[in-house]
Amino acid sequence: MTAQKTVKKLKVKMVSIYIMGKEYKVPEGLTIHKAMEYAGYKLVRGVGCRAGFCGACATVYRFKDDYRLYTGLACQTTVKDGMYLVILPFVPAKKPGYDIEKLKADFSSIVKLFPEVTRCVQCNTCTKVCPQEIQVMDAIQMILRGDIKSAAELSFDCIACGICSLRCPAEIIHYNLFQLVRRLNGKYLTPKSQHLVQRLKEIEEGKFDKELEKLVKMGPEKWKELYEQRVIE
Amino acid sequence: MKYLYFPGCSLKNYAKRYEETAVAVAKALGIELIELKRWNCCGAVSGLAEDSVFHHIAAVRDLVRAQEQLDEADSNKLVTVCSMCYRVLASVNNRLKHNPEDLDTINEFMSPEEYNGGIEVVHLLQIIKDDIGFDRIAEFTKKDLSNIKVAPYYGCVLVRPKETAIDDPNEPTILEELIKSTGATAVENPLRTECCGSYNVVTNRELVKHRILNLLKPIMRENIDFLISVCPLCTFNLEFGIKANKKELHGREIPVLYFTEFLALAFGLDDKLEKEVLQAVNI
Amino acid sequence: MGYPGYPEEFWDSIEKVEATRERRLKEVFKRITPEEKEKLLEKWHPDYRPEGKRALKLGPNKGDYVPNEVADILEAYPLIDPNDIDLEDIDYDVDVLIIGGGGSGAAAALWTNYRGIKAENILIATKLRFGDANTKMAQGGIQAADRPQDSPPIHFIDVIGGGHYANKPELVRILVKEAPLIIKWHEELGVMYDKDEHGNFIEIHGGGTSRKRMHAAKDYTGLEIMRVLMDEVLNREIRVIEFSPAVELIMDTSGQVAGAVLYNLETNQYYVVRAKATVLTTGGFGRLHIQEFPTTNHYGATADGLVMGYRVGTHLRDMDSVQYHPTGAAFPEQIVGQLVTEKVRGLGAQLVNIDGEQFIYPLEPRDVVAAAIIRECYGRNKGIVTVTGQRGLWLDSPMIEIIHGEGTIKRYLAAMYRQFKRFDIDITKEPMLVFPTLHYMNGGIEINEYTQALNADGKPIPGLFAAGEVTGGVHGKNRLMGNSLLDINVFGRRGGINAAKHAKKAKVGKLTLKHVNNWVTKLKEAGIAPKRKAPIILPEYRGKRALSRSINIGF
Ligand SMILES: Cc1cc2nc3c(=O)[nH]c(=O)nc-3n(C[C@H](O)[C@H](O)[C@H](O)COP(=O)(O)OP(=O)(O)OC[C@H]3O[C@@H](n4cnc5c(N)ncnc54)[C@H](O)[C@@H]3O)c2cc1C
Ligand code: FES
Repeated sequence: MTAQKTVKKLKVKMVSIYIMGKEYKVPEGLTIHKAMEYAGYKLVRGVGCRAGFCGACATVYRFKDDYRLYTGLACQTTVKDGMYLVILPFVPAKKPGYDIEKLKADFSSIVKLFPEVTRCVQCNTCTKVCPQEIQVMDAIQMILRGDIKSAAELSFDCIACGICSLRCPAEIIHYNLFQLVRRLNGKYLTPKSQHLVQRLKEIEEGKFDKELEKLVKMGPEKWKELYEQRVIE
Repeated sequence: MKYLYFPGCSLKNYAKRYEETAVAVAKALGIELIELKRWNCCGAVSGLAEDSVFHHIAAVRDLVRAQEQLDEADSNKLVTVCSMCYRVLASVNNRLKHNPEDLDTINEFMSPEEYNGGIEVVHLLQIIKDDIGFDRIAEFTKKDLSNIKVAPYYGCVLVRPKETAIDDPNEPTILEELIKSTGATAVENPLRTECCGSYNVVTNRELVKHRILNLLKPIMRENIDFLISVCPLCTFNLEFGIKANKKELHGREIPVLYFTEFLALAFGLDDKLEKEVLQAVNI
Repeated sequence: MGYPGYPEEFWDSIEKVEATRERRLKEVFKRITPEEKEKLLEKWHPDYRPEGKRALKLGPNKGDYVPNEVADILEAYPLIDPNDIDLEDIDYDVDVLIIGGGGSGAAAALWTNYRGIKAENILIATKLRFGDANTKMAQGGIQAADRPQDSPPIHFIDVIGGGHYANKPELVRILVKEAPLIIKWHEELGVMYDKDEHGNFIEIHGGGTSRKRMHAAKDYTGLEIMRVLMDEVLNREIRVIEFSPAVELIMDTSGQVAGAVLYNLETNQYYVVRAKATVLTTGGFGRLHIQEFPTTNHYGATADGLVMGYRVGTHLRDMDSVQYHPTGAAFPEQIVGQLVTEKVRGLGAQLVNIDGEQFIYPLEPRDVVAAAIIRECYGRNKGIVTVTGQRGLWLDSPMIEIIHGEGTIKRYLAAMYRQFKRFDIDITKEPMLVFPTLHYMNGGIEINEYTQALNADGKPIPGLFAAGEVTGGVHGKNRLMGNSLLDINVFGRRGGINAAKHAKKAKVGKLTLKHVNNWVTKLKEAGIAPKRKAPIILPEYRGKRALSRSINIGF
């Protein structure tokens, strides 16, 4: 196939990366995950979805003459020459238990479970390190002023990689805190669907039972007929 | 006129009535207060610590947010309403303007965000005085307040220290002038810049109770209709103290109004407040 | 100027896409007729390539055709030698063991607990971290017929038509009838579904739906559901052990399934779990890379559940059909195979070829769209070819901003936007390059309405339940978007309830792994060389050179 030929012609540039301090030469353009595999690692910890959704692969890295500590997701970040990196295998974090039915959607229920939230010194480090580019500190501030809805929305894209919590001088566990905030918002601060209530009532009354029974018994020929006659909304 | 506006945490919580009336009064006066899209706590007392610029980080970030949104306003003034927020933001702003090394240190830390020193922090009272003019307050006043006697209370932070004071630290008059411009009578209040007891209310209520009683004693004879405050914490302590000293005050429960509530009343903007307060004093 | 995220050789074609956009906004591509559909699938869908499959040599599905990669793991030797395992020394003795920590596992655990099994008598064993699985990756949404203009029977027809009439109708009935109940459960738990100001759900179309019934939580629907269920599992203090996959089911001498052998991936030791009821929720098989397709699936999607189940006699169904999602990323290389959610098409983006012309109605069922893209690239040569030889076609995402207003993509497709932005491609302004990717295991372990795993005679295997992607029958030969998140909740819930019921009266006898020994004997009889071992637990991606120098010096 012609495609194969094109691949062969490509000259891949190699870069040096330092996985937990050891140097490996890997092709440029690979994600950190793929580069580690290329180097011979069988990934076990620090990997999950491999697509930026699960937060298992929080990674910290630095370059030789740069004081900055960079962060990213190993499945989404491409290696660069001179990268010193480590994927964090685990982020310890407290997770207080609660009964969501018994909570109120207000600041006082939150602060009882996560008293450390008031320790925020607003250094903004959490926002700076977030690989999802969430305004983490702003969301914490919204919680402090009792604006649960905004905090829930602002933190929505959190994948709980845990980097913010490791960097926080106030030792706040942002992602567990945000989880509570979002549930409070979803449960108490958003109106309930009336359509759903109505439909559940109809189902309970058995409104669709006969029709469904008929459908189950019908068989492929009839299903096909019905399927082909569908009116699309 | 459009001004950027920093509400602060108190105004979003227990001092909601302060914020609502501030925005309404400003609007009546032709001022649009544009709330910052993003803001955080000013840092409160920790922002006042002077041993390390790091304590100022919260306040500086708010100044950066104002800077980011400057093109939406007609002026570089950032309007505050809570007097504590004013004090913190203004003093941090001053320090950075006068100490470029400090500004550099902070900018270095905040990088890539950077404060350029271009914001002026003001209190809403200053806007009313300087940009609108007290003489024009009379024009907007709809109610006849000539029978009303009002005692102003400044508390500490709006008039101290002198670097950020919005008026003479010892003999401020800005509230008195404001009151007079509505036609009401401003009662002389000798202890008007004494501290209300501040955060002690959390840990030592007895102390605050006594303090408030002492503050009120000199004006009790005046038969005032209400007190005017500029600060959420002062108001909280005054209201607490008045209740707690009910016996000592012979059952008199003097209402404490934010200056913006007072103006809202004068302008006839707040029916509910009018019912609660004005009818109580028989206007 | 130009398109900084794309190589220059693409620019001409992108300009053509832009040039035709205005006209296409008004253009509706005609729907495919049943006859055309059949022809298209037969010629271009990977499922129809005879060399991709082979007949199984042994087991409950002997003689059935399945993809080679599936046959490879089913016809494989066990990882453990039963003689090495001391079944008398029990590490976890529980009422209900749930194998798999995705959405179906979490739902099963919660409902087991709701039905009276104490948290300390439930164990979730999972291969990776709890929740790091396909469920979290679901972006598009979850179906439920809850609007007045919709109904469970209408939903039924969509499901069964989408599944090419091969579904198990009793299971479909449950799926559609219990859907609203699931959404209500989520609402009460606090799942933040997209809603209008009255609290009604914002619902859109998905491929193959005749009504708008796709409920979403931005394009993080699976993540939002999963993290709420996880939070609830943790609140209830249900035990979870991570990085400890099951490698074999355990039976007792009376022939019921009675737990599993787990393997601690860090310390390499085994654990024996004895359980009165076992629920398999190990998900799908994307990481088998059927016919070398890239996949959207998580790292642990290696069909371990099929392998373990097959050895205790579970019957599999519909394993001959594989779901290729029509729109996997085809560029940049770093994200090839990752999902571009169907919601992009749901919101109005069209599929167009190198000349900026449409070639298929964008919301045909998945197999049809996938086949049409493959035909356009390989049959008609109207695709883009990247430097690595990967082919692809344009998905014209900027149309969404024109149709629904600026900001729609960032609000409703935040994950997608971010995914591409990381590589300098702004999907609000530029189209994305896509090609089909291995997405979903349509078939799997056959179950009945009570989620009991069935053997080749259609009889339940006592003690074994299964739910979610590991099962077959609900979706027939092709699953529609939004019905899988639904499936894992509906049947995960049923799995939990029925496992609890079973556990309350079950008595477990002496544990045994005799079935594993028997399996080895059968493999030998069938003449299968002991080359392959399964379950494979994690796919092998190590570099060739690194692997070739790997030695085991056993220190
Ligand atoms: C990218 C993507 C997008 C999708 N989008 C949608 C959508 O929009 N709508 C929709 O309805 N569906 C969608 N799906 C499909 C749907 O998300 C999945 O089918 C469904 O979530 C599967 O849930 P599950 O619980 O069965 O499996 P999973 O969520 O995959 O969970 C399987 C679990 O089993 C564990 N496991 C595996 N092997 C073992 C073992 N040997 N021992 C112990 N544990 C084991 C895994 O670690 C994992 O925890 C999508 C899927 C993907 C991949
Ligand atoms: S592996 Fe899931 S976010 Fe990287």
